[in-house]
Formats: sequence, C-alpha cells, structure tokens
Amino acid sequence: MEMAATSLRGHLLALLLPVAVVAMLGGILAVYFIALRASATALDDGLTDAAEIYAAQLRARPGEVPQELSAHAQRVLLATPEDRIFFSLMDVNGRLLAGDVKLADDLPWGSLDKPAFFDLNHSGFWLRGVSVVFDVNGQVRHMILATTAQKREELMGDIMLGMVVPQIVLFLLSIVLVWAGIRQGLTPLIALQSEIGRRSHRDLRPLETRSVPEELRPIVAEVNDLFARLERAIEAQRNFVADAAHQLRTPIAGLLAQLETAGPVTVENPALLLTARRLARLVGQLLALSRAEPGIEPAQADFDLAALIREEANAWLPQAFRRDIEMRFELAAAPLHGSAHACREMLANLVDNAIRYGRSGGIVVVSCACDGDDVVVRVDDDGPGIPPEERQRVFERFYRGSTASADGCGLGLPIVAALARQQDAAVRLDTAPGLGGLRVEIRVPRRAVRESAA
Amino acid sequence: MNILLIEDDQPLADGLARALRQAGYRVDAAGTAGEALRLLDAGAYDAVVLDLGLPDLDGSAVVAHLAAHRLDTPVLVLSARDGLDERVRLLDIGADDYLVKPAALDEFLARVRALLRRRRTGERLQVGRLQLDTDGKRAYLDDAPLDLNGREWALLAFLAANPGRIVSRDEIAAALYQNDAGVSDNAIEQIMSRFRKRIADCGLNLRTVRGLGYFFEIGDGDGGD
Repeated sequence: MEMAATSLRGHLLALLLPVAVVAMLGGILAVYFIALRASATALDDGLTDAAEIYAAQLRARPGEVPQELSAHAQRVLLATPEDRIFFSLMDVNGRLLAGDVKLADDLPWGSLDKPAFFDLNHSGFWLRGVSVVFDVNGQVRHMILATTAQKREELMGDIMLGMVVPQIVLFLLSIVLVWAGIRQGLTPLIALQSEIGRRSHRDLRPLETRSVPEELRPIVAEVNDLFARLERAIEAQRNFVADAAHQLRTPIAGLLAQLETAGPVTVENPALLLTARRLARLVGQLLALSRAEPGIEPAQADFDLAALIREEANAWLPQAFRRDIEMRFELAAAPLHGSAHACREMLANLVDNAIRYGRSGGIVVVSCACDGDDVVVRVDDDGPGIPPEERQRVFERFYRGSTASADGCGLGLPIVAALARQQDAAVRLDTAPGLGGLRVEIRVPRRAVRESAA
Repeated sequence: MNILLIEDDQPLADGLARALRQAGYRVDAAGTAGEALRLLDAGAYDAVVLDLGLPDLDGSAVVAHLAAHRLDTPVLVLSARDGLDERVRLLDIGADDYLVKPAALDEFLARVRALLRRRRTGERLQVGRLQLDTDGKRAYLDDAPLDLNGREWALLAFLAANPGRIVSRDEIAAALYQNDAGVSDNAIEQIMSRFRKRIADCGLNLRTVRGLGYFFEIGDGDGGD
C-alpha cells in the first residue's frame, strides 16, 4: 500500500532527475571553462597588444621613457575605470626605469612574440599580467604589465549569465513538462480507476476499451476477462443453488404429503411433520435467496406499494390467524418505480418472521407511506424483539437470534437484506414503539432504481 | 366428486391421492400426460390436479387439451416452478389455480374445495357448515333453514363468493346497496358485527382487519377431514 513504492510519477522523476541535474551541472561547468578561456584569451591579447604599443613608443623616441601607458594602450587593455593597472619597466639589471614598484622578482621572461603570462596576488588584488623582454635600440628592456581581472570577471559573468540562465530555465521547464506529461499520461488510468470505483458489486459489464490508450488495453482486457469469468462463476453458483433447491421441491412435497396423510405415525411423532415442514421452508428460502443474489436484475415497473400490501395480505392473514395474531394495516399511497417481485418477497419474509417469532395472540402492524424521495415500509410486532447487540448478526445467513424460538432457518432477514441491496433500499431494525417488539423498517428509493438502470 | 390427479412423482402422487381420498373424494391417478388425456376422454371429472413436469409432455398440454375440447373441468396446477411468468402463462391458457410445491396439505385441500365450489352453480353451495341455495336465496345450517333478512343474505352471498380475500368496506357497501348512497363506515361496522353473531357456530370466520376491511374464512367443513 506504500504510495512511494508504486508511484509511477515518483519512479519516473527519480530516474529522470539525477540525469537532468548531472547534464545541467556538466553544461554549466563546460560553459564556465569556455567562458574562462575566452575571457582569458581576450585579456592576454590586450596585455600583449598594450605591451607592444608601449615598446613601439619607446623605440620611436629613444630619449624618452613614458611614465604611463598611452590612452591607446589603456583602451587596448579593455580596462574599466575601476580596473587598476600595474606597469613597470626595468633595464637588464632590474633597475626600475618607469612605472610602479616591481610586482615580483621571479617572473618569467617572455618575448613580444612569446609573452610570458602570470597570475599574481598583489596587495589584495588578483592580477593577470604579462612579462616581456624586448630590445630598444640595443638596450634590453624588461616590461611587466598587469591588470586587475575586473573586466575579465565581468566578461565571464556576462558569458555565464547568457548561457547558464537559459540552461537552468530549460532544466526547470523540463521537470515541469515531465511532471505534466506523466500526469497527462496517467489521466486514462485515473478515469479507469473512477470507472471501476463507481461500479456496484453486481455490475460486471466489461470496461469501455475505446477511450483507453494502447498501453493500458491489455490490462483492461484482462480485467474484462476476469469480470466475465467471475460473472460465469457467480452464474454457475447461483444456478446450482437454484437448481438444487428446485429439484428438492417435488420429493419434499412427496414427503410432506406422505407424512400428513400417514395417520397414527405422525400423530405419535409430531416432530416428523415439523421437520419435514422446516425442510420445505428451508428449500423455499434457499431458492429465494439464490434469486436475490447480485447479478439478477428483476423487472422494474411503476406500482403502488400500498396496493401490493393490500393484495398480499390475503396470503398472510390465514397464517396470522392460525397463531391467533391480529394484523393491522396503516397504508398510505406509496407509488414507486422498482421491482414489485422484490418488494413482495421482502414483505412476505418480514411478515412471516413477525408472525413466526411474534407473540401468539399478539399484534403485527404493517404500514407504508412516502417520506421524501423514499417509500418507507414498516413491520412492527409485539414479540420478544431482537436485542440491539444481535441486530447486525441476524442479517448473516443461518444465524438464529437468541429470541428466535420457533422453527426458522435463519434466512428470512438475509433474503430481505439481499433484496434490499438489489433495490438500493435500506433495512433497519429497531424496537417497535408502542408494541415493544421488533420493528423492521425498509426505505425504498422511489426513483433510484430507474436512475441506476439508465 | 371425481378428481383426476396427474403427477409422475410416485411418493407425492400417493400422498396427495391419500389426502384427497381421506377428504372424501374419488381419485384417479395418472403418471403421464398421455394417460391423463385417455382418462379425461373416458370419464367425467369434477376437477384436475396437474403437475407440469411430466415425463412425456408438459402439463400445459393437458390444460390446452381441456380448452380445445371445451371441457370446463377446473384445473389446479401443482408445480415446482414458481416464476410469475409461468403462473401467468398457465392461468392464461385456462388453468384455474396455481400452487407451488411443496404446499401445505391444508392449503392444497382448501384450493381443491374452492375449485369444486366454483363448479357447483345451481346446486347448493357448501360454505363451512352452511349450505347456500343461490337460486332461492336461502341458507341452511345442517339442513335447518337459517332466518336471514335480504341484506344479511346479500352479505353472506357476497362473502361466500370471496372467501380468503380481504374485502374493503367500500366493496361491502357496493354489494349491499345498489345505489351509492354514502354508507358510513360506522353503519358497515354495525352490520358486520351483527352478522358475525348470526353466523357464529357455522364453521365460518369473519375477521376484522384493521386498516383494510374484513377477511372471510371458510373452515374445513365440507370434506371428510
């Protein structure tokens, strides 16, 4: 369930990010060196040119030794006003003829053709300089010309700015693009996820494949295949239970008919008939349960639940009278769109439970009414009820509550629950107000079924 | 009363035949549709109890045969198939009633009684311990005439025609008063309460079903059990 381990986005970024960072840093480094070289070359050329100009000045007027570089030479040096220029001219013995103090003693000697360049820290400045020895009318002159690297640094900065900023922008842009691209690429997956998430457990229709990208199609195909297999398995299971229950009907009917007419044997052994009747009921309920399974879509129609109850009451009353139970009805018009069969079956089970588990000589009240977007049906009795702690469990198959005394088989409420699920209805158990027994309340959406079928 | 029982499952056929005989009917049993059709052509039956899943033909063939020969012998279908469609199909082609296996024997016998009652027009109708002479509009309790006024007779006849079915106050009012002069619920209640006393000890149950109306039940009066 750990997201980091399975996040496609994270995985791709983790793969891509180091490569992109290395590429970017490499690029910056390369630019730096190129810029460094370019600016250094420019500076060195300037130094050489300035030295040549000065040498030419000396040669032109042998008597004079200019104490400063000419304006032309300074221009050639590409110096900014902030730059400091150090310049000194010495004879062959190292005696200072012009310029500033000697910068250093051990500087290499170069010629005008092959000038010797140096880097030097002088009173807090990083300097770049050239050391050349040339001949002025037969006299050896040693000239040292150095300048602070202000200009060079500016140049470097310009070059770096011009090349590195686009690099960084490109890098950030690529990250954003990759992120967005993955996101975009994952959209069909998210759509697929919500499509599957939206589905009810009984909706095993194949997933739509047309809008799915090619890469996902095999997965969707497999899921659809699984759905189909599942559907077949559920179908087979359901059919088996239904077939088995169906096949049991005739022999059980035979058993019942034989026992009920057997005379003394059943009179002496009342448990025989009782057990056979329980068996008959169990088979009927198993069949009902198998029909209430998900996947079965009962026919939908518009009908009035009150009218349905009025009709079904004919079948309930004889059973109630046998247990000396009075049935009361409080019916208001309750039109809805849904499965009349499911409602009939739910009510039959609830009323059967109420009569079976209610108090002999007691009261059962069946009521229905509209409540907002729902139809509410209630079956109340004055029997022992179901303690709150058991109210969840009585919906489990074959569970029989502690207050269930009679010959039930623990399938009535599971059938009701399964049918209610089919109808998107809610079942609630409560204590019947006034009567004190059990209240079962079913809320059937009046139109929800029609909407979900669309 | 002759009943033809068509059922191929031997234990069930035996049990049902025994139950019917114990209830005082004469029973012929057939295990196949072919045999049933021969018996139907040969003899007269007052009712047919029919299983659908027969070895040679579907039971509906027997219903179709009866309809084709304009025989009005009532048919009670007894089937393991409990689908609404099947029930509707059988009732549509001419079956009179439909019972799903396994049914309680009491209910089975009650349905047979109802089937036979439907057939006996003109004769006296057995309703619990009462015999109704529909032509003479008189009722007898164990052959002694019962003193009923016109409205009471109308009520008894109406209820006898609707046993095992809830009848609303409106239906009762419509049956008792031809012109729809607004009969109050109170008046109906009084009539019903008095009528209930009149038919006490007649093997009949007239129950009030609060919120719906009245439910008229005929006890096991006319069979042998």
